Amino acid sequence: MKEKKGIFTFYILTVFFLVIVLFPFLWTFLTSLKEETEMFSQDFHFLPLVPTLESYRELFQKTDFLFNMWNSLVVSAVTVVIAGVVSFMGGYALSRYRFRLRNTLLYFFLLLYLVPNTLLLIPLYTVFNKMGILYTPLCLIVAYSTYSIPYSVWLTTGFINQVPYELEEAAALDGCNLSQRMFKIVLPLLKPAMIASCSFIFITSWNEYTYANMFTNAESRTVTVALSNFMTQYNIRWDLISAGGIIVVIPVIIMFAVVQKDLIAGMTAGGVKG
Amino acid sequence: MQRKKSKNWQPVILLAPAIIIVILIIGYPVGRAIGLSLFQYDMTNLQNVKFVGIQNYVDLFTKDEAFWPAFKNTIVWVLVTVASQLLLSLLLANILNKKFFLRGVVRSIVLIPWVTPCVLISLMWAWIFNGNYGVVNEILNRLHLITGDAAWLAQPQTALWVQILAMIWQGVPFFTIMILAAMQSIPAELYESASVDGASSVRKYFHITIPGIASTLVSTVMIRLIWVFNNVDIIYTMTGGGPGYSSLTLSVYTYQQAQKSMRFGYGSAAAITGAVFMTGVIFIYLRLTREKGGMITK
Repeated sequence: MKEKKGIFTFYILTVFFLVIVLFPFLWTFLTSLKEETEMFSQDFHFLPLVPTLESYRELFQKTDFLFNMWNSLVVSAVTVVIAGVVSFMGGYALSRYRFRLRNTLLYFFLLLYLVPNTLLLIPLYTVFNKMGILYTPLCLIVAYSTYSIPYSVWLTTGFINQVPYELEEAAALDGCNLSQRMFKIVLPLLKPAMIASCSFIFITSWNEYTYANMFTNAESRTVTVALSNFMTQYNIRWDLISAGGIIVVIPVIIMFAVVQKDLIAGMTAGGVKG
Repeated sequence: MQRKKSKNWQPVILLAPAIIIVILIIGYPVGRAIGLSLFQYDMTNLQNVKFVGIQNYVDLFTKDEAFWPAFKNTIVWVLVTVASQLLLSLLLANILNKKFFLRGVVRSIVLIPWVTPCVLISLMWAWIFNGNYGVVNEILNRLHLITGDAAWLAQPQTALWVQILAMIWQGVPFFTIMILAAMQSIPAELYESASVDGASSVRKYFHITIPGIASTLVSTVMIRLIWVFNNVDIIYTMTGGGPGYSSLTLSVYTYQQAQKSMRFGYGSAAAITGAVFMTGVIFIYLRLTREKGGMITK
């Protein structure tokens, strides 16, 4: 009897959490399918009376949303390459070598991850301005690489810790040099882990807003800024926001679904060990 | 595991790019922000840049009518959000730690808010709590809990709380993963021998689980404190700190000074004040939790 009651509460709680998590997405999706008149009608319906893709058509045909998505894609992809390579190298060093300051460096990287970007925003703006790259995608690539690198170094160190060093020793005996060991032995073994950490870099870059809002203009605007710009002081385009929101979040969710297992394994393994 | 203990150049070269990039883009700007905070430096009035010493800080504390409300809101925002996230995550981690049908799927779904852009979270919740067409008002009306439309985001009493709700929603998943991982690293034998001794599940929870996950809790709470403090997106997008200053936080205020008003000297002073305050909070926090052994104090 007691056991049964426990299971009952358990399922109620599970369903409760699922509903809370999914409801905002569901509601946004339903809104995106409504006609504009219905969206702003006093006569309330949960489901769209006449489902229509009108909001999506307008989003793609009358706004620069596709172009904004392209900008986000370029910035995020380049960031992934830079931050991925740099943090693989850094993570390898932190995992495989013992030297003074090693632990200090590990903590340092973690703490840097927590530096507020409101503090970096103004100086970076003046620097980018002086260098003449303000409002180009380059600003965002530089800014995102920096804030991705500390965390992904940390993540990668944890991943590489799990690759047995004996494999490399054997390879070294066979005459493999450092770069061969790194790229031919460690990297292939780390493939799922590196894909996970690169996806995470991609997702954080794709999602970023505070830098993007300050360092871009119409030419380089990314998708999150475009989305928030549908909300102006006088007019809030909930039709475009809901359709755009669904479009923005779909690639992120797909990517996350694919890598989440490896990503979580890496996150929770932690870099600060041994 | 045996690893190289060499004093050679390899680790230096491998780490160099990471360290150089990080110093250039984080170290240098932090120094420059401190410098800028001592100047009157408005992007809209660049002819008139001058050294003002600590005047920006004095103005911030004594003349600025937004500063103290923002300070107070920051404390509410951070404390309520992190405390609620902690409690909900403990509960959720407990649920997800049990074996049940479709557990993997449920886990992945529950994590989705963590990877959703904060801007979108903000917009979705703003629409849900919209005063005229929002679904929350509709549901509450149908349940006869309220009559008519409540302007959740346009009232000083409720605006901050709606945004706290959105932030809790965003942060619970990350918290839960960390707790879950820590729970799974507790040896099962501990629970088994406790059962043999006839310990109740509540007792087991407080005497085995909580101590087992304590160090993870300490470090995760610290990361969340800082993240929630730093977060700009949610409030900046949803209400911009309004109505009035009722939902303004220090980070959002700093961002507005930089992004909207382009007052770079004053904005830097606000940013540094916030960072110093948060460093102090974390310092005290680490002192208080030292014996629990978080990852920073180990």
